[in-house]
Amino acid sequence: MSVREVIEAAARQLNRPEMVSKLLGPEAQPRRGTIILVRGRNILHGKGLDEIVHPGDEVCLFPPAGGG
Amino acid sequence: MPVPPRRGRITPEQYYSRHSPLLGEECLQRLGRSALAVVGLGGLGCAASTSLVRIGVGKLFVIDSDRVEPSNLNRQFLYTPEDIGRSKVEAACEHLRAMNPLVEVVPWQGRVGEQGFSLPPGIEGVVDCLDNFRSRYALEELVRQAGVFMVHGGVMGQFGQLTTIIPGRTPSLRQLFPSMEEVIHRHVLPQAATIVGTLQAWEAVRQLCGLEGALHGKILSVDLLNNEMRTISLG
Repeated sequence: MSVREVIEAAARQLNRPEMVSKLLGPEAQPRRGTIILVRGRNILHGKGLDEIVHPGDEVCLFPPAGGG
Repeated sequence: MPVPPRRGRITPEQYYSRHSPLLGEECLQRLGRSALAVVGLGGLGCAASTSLVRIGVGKLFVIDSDRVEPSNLNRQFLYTPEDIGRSKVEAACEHLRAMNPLVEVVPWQGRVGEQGFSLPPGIEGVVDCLDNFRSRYALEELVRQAGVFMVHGGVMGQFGQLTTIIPGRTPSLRQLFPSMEEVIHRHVLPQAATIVGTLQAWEAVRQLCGLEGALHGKILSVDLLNNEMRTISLG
């Protein structure tokens, strides 16, 4: 299962379809301003939204808080 | 009945008596010999510098190039309306020195990333309280060159995060948060800045004293919308 598929499945389960367009870009990357870590690594350094998620992997989504 | 201390004549034993048993004498002595820099004197920097001064670091450099503005006052609690227009470094130094005369508070004017800017000499660590990632990337490069630790903190709305960067040992900010130069966050819940800045100060104490639980290779995510704090291990 890819990160994109995990997020799409979560949006369905949570009944929050807007999650998909807010988080996922049209290409294989998340939208700017969204940080997605799989196994503690930013997916931008791997296959982006096509990164494969294995059973037991932790997928973390959070806003990169840049203010001070 | 104990005699209250006279104004302005406070000993370290008196000032630190409520937390010294928790940290231990060795850690307290270690803090007293330490030198740190707080970079950025906004919401995070006011909280971090206040907390570091009150816990008893030896020397604290405070770095910023801005002046106090009315929109700062909701969260930047070192300043009052009387400080509007003053240099943040100057105002912060005045208030921090008054808070704890046992700590040497040193002003360091300048903007990270500008030509000629350098970190103060002799510091062991930096507390990143900047307000944008472009400057943070520049700070991280200076930290790498100096070989010191950096406690990163950031806030946005009701959220925040912190982590400790140790050059060569932990993932860098650029690895964690790549391509964030253009992302600017203007709206910040005052409590989010105060909480994250205070946690940054505590994290810096952990680094200096070698306490367990430091955020090496971990991010602490703070979510005040749902009242949650979560530690994420980094790969």
